[in-house]
Amino acid sequence: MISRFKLPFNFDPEALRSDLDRISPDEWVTHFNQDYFEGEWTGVALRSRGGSTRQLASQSVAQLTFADTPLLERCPYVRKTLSTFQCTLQSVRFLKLAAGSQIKEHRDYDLGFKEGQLRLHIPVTTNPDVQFFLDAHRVELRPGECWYLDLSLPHWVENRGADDRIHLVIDCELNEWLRGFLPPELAGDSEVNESDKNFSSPEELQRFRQAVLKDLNLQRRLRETDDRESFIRLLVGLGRQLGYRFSAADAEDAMRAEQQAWIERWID
Amino acid sequence: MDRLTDVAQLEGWVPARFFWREGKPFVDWCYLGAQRFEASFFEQTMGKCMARPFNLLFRHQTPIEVLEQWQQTRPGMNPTGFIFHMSRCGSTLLCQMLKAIPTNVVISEARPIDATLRAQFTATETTDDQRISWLRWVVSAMGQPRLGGEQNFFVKFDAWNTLDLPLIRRAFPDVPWIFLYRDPVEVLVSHFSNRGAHMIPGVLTPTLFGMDVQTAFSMRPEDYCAKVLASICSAALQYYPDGGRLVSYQELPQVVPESLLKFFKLRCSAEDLASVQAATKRDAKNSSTTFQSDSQQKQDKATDAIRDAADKWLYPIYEALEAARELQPAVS
Repeated sequence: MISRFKLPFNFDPEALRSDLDRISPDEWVTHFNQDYFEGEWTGVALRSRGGSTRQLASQSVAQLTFADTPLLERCPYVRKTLSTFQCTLQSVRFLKLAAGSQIKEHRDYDLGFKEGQLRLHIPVTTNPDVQFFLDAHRVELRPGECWYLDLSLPHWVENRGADDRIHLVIDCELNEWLRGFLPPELAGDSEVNESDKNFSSPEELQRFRQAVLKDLNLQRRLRETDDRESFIRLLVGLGRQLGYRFSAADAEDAMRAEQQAWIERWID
Repeated sequence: MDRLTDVAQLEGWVPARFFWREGKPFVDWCYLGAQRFEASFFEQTMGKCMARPFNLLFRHQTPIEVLEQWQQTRPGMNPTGFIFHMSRCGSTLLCQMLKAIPTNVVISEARPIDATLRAQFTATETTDDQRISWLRWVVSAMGQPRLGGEQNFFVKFDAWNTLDLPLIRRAFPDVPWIFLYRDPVEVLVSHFSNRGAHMIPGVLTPTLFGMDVQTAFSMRPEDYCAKVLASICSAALQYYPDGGRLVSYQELPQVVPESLLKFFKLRCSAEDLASVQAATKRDAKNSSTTFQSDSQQKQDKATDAIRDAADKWLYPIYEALEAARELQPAVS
């Protein structure tokens, strides 16, 4: 099982920071897992069960439904960021580990990938002296990137720098759109993928290829990666988003065929 | 895309290949973006492009007429000069020297260009006028500025395209050209260690060189190769008075800064000249070593069959080229 994975989205850290400026210091509340940290670990909710800005937890209030908090109104770029995600959002929070603070090693068993949930981290502010260890590996997350992290593995964070480390943390429900961006090892971890295989449709891929050739923006996005695997994920994901359903295997096949055709191009 | 509906559609794209679909010529376009043709051959640049996953799955394929529209909306640079050659005679080095000036674009042995010139072998009804139009369009598409600041544009043709000089001159009557050649034994020795496409009957049709297929296959390979080279050299000798200049391998590399830059009417800064000189320090095919003539090594490797074929088919024409070259006035 993959412990971490960077999704092919990039957000503007500057714009996220200007949203942070709209939050007053007294709105930040201390994280509920008080046993796990030393120093200052706080957060604000932009979306929570019950819709309160101060509600950072989900489990303890499971009877309430998720709702946007008044804070989301004030944060235009967070709204824009969230609109990228074509899936049902559960909680959305800014979590801050203040300079000099640490979160001790622990596991979050409640984050159930198998139950169809996914937690994404988008770093907003960080510094080189933040040490984040996941499953005994140091992981560096840069502002504006979007990461899936398997936090059911042991992890700990120490902010040894002079600046706060603030992440936008999004919990969402896994759906096909989201699966399209995930590596097969992850996407293949549930039965939903079984039905995905039935979506194999070389014709749909063919139609999507035609559509891309008419759309300069899609072309630009697809040119962002030269890595074959992430290209295929991006391709399948963008296809899904626009209603073209085909599988990663369809993309693999098409690329292999094109490669072969290119090699044999002079043989008439 | 049957017609160009939006100019932006082809911005940054380049014709990668010609192909025929239901008897009609088509262009396979590849996205190149703001990239220079750095590699020694056009095909190497295309090969690199095809290593990118996007380019494998997304290529415009258009009827050839879209090239004409593209030329009208985005005319490429006018060619500064053409390079013809007998093959294995230093033309790669010469192109590297031209390329050393950052504002020069050099397209080398591009298959789409060759395909327009040989279209009548694929579709016999192709007329000369069509080939001339196609050649102009494809050259224009190749000569698009890609980085900004490009000033000069050179096309190095395939060796056998020399035979099409009259047609190329009709398409581009004002473009100065050179023909580069080398001692026949040395060229043959190089081909016999790794034969070029034109040296294998059947890869290119022998009729291109005035031989029928049966004769071609019954000949000794040395004779076939020598005859192919002889037909290329004869064409150069016949046509050079019309805008051409003969250049011998023995004059490399100094002939470039000393007379060819002037022949192509390039205005060069001291810095440009220094870059051209520096390019000679890199052997065209092995970038770690300085260019050195390898005539002696080549001569030592010649077999009797190679010497016989060279004597019989090539030396008379080679000597005629040498005599004509010595009579050429200096470039003023």
